[in-house]
This record gives sequence, C-alpha cells and structure tokens, in this order.
Amino acid sequence: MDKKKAFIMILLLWITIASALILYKQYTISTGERILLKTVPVDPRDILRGDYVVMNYEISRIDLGKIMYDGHSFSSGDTFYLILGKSGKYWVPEAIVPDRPKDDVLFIKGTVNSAYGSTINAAYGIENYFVPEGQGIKIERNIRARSNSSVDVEVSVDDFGNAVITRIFSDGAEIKFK
Amino acid sequence: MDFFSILILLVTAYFVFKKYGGSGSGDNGSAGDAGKVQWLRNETIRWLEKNIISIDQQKQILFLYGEENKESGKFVPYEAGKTGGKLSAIKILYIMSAILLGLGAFLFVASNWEKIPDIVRTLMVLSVTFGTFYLGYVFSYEKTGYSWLGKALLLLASIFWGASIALIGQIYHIPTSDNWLIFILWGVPILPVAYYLESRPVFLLSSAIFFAWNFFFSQSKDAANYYYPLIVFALLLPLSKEDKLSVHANVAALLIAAFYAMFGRHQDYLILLIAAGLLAYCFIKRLPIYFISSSAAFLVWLIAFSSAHPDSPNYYFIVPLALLFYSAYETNLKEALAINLLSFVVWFNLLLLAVSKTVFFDKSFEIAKILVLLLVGIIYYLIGIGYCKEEFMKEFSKVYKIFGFVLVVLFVYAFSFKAIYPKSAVLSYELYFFTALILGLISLVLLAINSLKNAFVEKSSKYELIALVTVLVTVFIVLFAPMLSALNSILMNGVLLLISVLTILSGFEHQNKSEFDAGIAIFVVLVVTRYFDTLWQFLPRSVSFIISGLLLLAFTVLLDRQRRKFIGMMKNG
Repeated sequence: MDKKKAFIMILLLWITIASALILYKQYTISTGERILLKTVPVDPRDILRGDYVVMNYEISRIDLGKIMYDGHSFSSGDTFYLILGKSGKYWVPEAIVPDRPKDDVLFIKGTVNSAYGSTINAAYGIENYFVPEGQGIKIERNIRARSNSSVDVEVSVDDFGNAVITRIFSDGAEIKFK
Repeated sequence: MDFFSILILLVTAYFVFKKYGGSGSGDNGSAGDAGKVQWLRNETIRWLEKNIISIDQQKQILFLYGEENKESGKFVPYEAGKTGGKLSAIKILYIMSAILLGLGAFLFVASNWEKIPDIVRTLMVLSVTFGTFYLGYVFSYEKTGYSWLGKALLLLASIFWGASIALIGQIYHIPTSDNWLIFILWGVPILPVAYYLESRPVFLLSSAIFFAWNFFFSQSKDAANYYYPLIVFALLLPLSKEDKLSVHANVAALLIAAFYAMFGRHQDYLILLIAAGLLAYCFIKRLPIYFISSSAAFLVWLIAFSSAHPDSPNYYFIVPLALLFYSAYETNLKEALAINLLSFVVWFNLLLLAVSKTVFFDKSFEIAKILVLLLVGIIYYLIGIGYCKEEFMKEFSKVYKIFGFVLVVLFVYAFSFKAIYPKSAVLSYELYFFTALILGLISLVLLAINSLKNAFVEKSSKYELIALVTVLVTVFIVLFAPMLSALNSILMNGVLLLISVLTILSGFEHQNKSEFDAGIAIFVVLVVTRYFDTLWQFLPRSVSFIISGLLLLAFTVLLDRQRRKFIGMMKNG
C-alpha cells in the first residue's frame, strides 16, 4: 500500500475510534435522563484507589425477593436491565428483567458480578469516579467522618440503559474539583 | 521563563551549532565521488530486482550519499560540506524555537489543566497525537534523511494515542474493571502504523500492550483469556513480517502467559491452546524458535494438566510428544530435543503414577519408582552412545548422553542414602516393578546392540561400558532384593564412586575439562555427604575430622598432580 494512503487511512481510523468513544458516552450524557442514586458505605480501605473513588450504590446489591422478578436464573457475566422508580429524590429498583424493556420505563443496564441465593451483586459501569490527584480526600472525608453523611451520585441514563456519572453530591451540595 | 533558563538554552544552542551546524564543519562522511555513488545506485537497482530491499529502503540508502540532479537527471553526491542528514544553523534555530514554544505551551496547559473544560482537553490531546503522527509520517517518507526522527515521532504518536484513550476513559469515568478495553483500543489501532509504516518499535509497543491486556483481562474477569493467544497467532505473528525480535518477543510473551496460567484455576486448556498454536506454527513457518517454544509450552501443559487432574493419566500427551520428537529430529534442533527428553521423563513418571493409582490400585513400591527414572537415564545414555558414530547425530548424541548422565548420577546419589530404603521394603509385583524390569531389559538390549556396533572399542568407551554394566547389575539387585537396604546402599555408593573415577579418567582421555570437573564434583559431593551422614554419626568428632582431613589432603595432592599433568598435556596439544 502507498505510504500516503496508509497514513490517511490510519489517521481516519484513529479519528473514527476517538469520535465513536466520545460520541457513545456523550450521547448518554446529552440525551439521557438525569437520576439520583444513593450510595452505600464501602470499606474505607477501598474508597480511594489512586486517583479515582470507588462508588457503591444501593442498586449494586439487588435482593430479588424485594422487587418484581420473573424467576429467570442469573449467573456471573449475565446482562440484565433494572427498572427504576422514583422514591423521594432517589431512584430505586422496582423490577429486574433479562431483556431490554420495550415499555416506557426508566431502566439501567447492568452486569451480574456474582449471584447467590436471591441476591445479585451487580455493576453498571458507574463504579469509578476519576478525580484530580489529591482531590478525592474531600469525598473520602465525607464518607468516613460522619456516620450519617450521604454521598449521592447524579447519573445520566440513555434509552439503551447505558449510564454515565455526571455529578456527585455530599449532603446535598455538589462536589466540584475545579 | 526566567533569565537563567534562557541563558542555558542559548548556551546549549551554541554548542549544538558548533558541533553540527555551518558549512564545512563537522564530519562530512556521507559525501563520495560521482563514480562511487553511481555504482551504488546501480547496485541498489539490482537488489530491488532481486527483492532484497524495498523501494523505500532503496531511497533511504541513496539519500544518505547523494541526490538527483534536477538538470541532468543523474544521481550525484552531495556538495562538499552539505549532507542529507546534517543540521544547518537555521534548522537548529527553528528547532530551538519550536522547543521553547512547545515547552511554554505545555507548561501553560499543565498549570491550568483543571480549569480547561473536558472537551477542550480531549481535543488538545487528540490534536497533539494526530499532529505528532503527521510529523512522523512526513519525516519518515516525505523528507529525506530524517527517517530516524520520523520513526521516533511515529512511536511517540502511538504512545500519545494511548494517552488520548486513557484520558477519554477518565473524563467519562469508564470503570477500572474495563481497563482491558482501554488496552484493546490502544493496541489494535497502532498495529496498522507498525505494519504499513514499517515501524518495529510501534509493533513491539503493540505486542507489549496486548501482553499487559492479557493480565488485566484475566484478573478483572477472573477467567482464562483465550483471546490473547488467538490474537497473537492470527494477528501479531503474521504481521511481524518475520522480524526476529518481533517474533521472539511475542513467543516469549506467550510462554510467560502459559506459565502464569499454570497457577490459575482450570487454565490447562488455555496452555494447550498456546502449545498447539506454537506447534502449528512449527509446520507453517519452520523457524527454530517455534520448535523450541512449542516443546516448552507442551511441558508446561503437561504439568498444568497433572495439577488440574491429579489422578487422570495423560494419554493425550503422546501425540504432541511424538510430533515434537519428529520435528526435533527433522530440524536437528538440540535445544528442542533437550526439552522433549525432559518432557518424556516428566510425562512417563506422571503417567505411571496415575495409572498405578487409578487402574492397578497399587500400593507404593517407592524404590521401583526411582529405579524406573534411573533406567530411563541409562536408556538415554545408551541411545547417545548409539548416535556417537553417526556424523549428523553427534550433537544429538551429546544431548542424550548429558541428560542420561545427569539422571543416572542424580538417582544413584539418591540411592546412596540408606534412608531411601523403607524399613519394611518388600518385593511387590506391581506396575512399577514390571516397568522397571522391561526398561532394564531394553537397556540390556541396547547395550548388546552398541557392543555389536563396536561402540566400546576405545579406552574411554570401555570406561562407559564398565560404568553401565555396574549400574545395571546394581539396579537389578535393588529391584529384586529391595529389603537388603544396607547392601544396596553400599553398592550404590560404590557405583557412584566408580562413576566419578571413570568420568575423571574419561576426561583425561578426551582432554575434556567439563568431564574432568564433573567427575571431581561427583566425588566431592559423595565424600562430603558420606562425611556428614556416616562418619559424623559413628566416630568421635575429632577422629572424623582427622580422617576426613587426611583423606581429602591425600586426594587433593593426587588430583593436583594429575591436573597439572592434564593442563600440561592440553597446552602441548
């Protein structure tokens, strides 16, 4: 292949990949519905790993006995869709289904990390929040210092159930790093 | 930027200018006269026709020495003082100003990074990446004489590409459990740079990225990564253009992945995939590295299989083992043979163990287990003797003999300890007994065949014959009378002593220092071991020390005399 053609094709490939990655995430942020999810305390030793904060949500552990569930057997690695409903200012799980819902409901796509009995440990792609170096200490202090502190996460969820973290709040106030 | 920094930069520029800049200064090694340059051009055309070099390589070679004259169309050397790759003063000033601007821009961005919106940051990093890539292409293929700079920029651009993907991942908070995805998005798009723009450093970078991806994937998914070997076999190795370093790097990475998988749960199938892929490449590409690495990979699989299925005999191994032996013989690769010989010993031992437990339900006849391995060593040695006279098998003969020698010495040494014989040893007609018996008979047959072929005619060969016969007789005594532990242990000590003396004498005969040293080493280990486990126990300490000291002194004096005589003989030829 001619070197100039090769250079142009590779450049176009790089531009395409970078654009696709950005647009994929930006689509979720721009078109998705903003919902608030409640976090739950994590092992303080794991809160801050390097330059990102580990987020653990109420929806990270699902009790199948407490929500609508059709009896489908979930195992590690399976994809599922968690239908959410608003309870106060938070969005909470209402039902779990293995396939993408066709009804006009709000849902978030997740992956089963592990399943035992009637409990599923899940991940939604929103478990890490990258922070500028040294800044994560703000969130860490909030979680550790006060037992009744709450860290809430605003997430944008698109029509396909993909989610991206947009903002985080500590006791109602947005945490900004700039 | 302060005054002193500018001063340092100007001083640096001055010295760079003095060394590389100006007309007539510096080394003018690239100019040549017209005749030589024209000859070179004609030769490169011939090389091109024979596909020894590519068009790009031809251009690179020619532009080191001259350029095409636009008026005459002839290829002429550079003017005196002016060479294709040298820097002029103006160019240096351009470079210095570019460095200053770049540094300034970098510092500005770094100090205001957090204030810059995400999208602007992303666009900046991507612009730098694409810009570096463009410059890399220009200097590699558009400008002449700067290919070194171009290749460096292509590598830099590939690294920047990774930084861009990582930054996008960070901005959109892609979880760390998906780090393997970042590696894929980094490693795959730079492969076309390596292949089409002919950059070995970028290829190696891509290989390293995939290698790292393998571990991240395995850890985050807690599962074997079958994709990695498939990517190496289907993508990386074919795209390597058989560049030695690129091939060796990826093969080494596969072996490390196989070794790492040995410690994972149920990853023996992954190791089998790696081993089978390397074996397939043996027959496709026929490079020595594939033969050697597939032998090693199958050995790793053998161990992993036995660990994952401890009581299952691995009959399947006979197929790849046979293919590997065939390949080693066909290609005459002694390294591959050595690994295969080791594999056979390990496999045979594991097979017998599994079969005796699960098929025959034998109680352990421990002595016979070790006798079997000792006999395998004897058979290897006898095969080595058989190959000795064949011209094309001399290297293989050495491998068989060395392997056999090590196994025999190791297990005879083990048998020299009285503790190895169980107190209530009995003769049991079990699998191990019959296996040892059959191997013993095979050894006798091989010994007879070698004798008929006059393999033991020379003096040093007679030493081998004495040692082999003595070992075999002792093996049969131990096999049929395992209960005579004291006698057996004394006999084995005698055998070991005999082997050490005969090895020393053989070393003299062949004038081979390694053999001589091996004999000495065996003797010393034997004496020291017996000193600690026998003399120490039975004699008063002071007497043991005196006797041992005297013995060692006498032996040392004798040896030193012989050694000086030996070195003298070697010097005189």
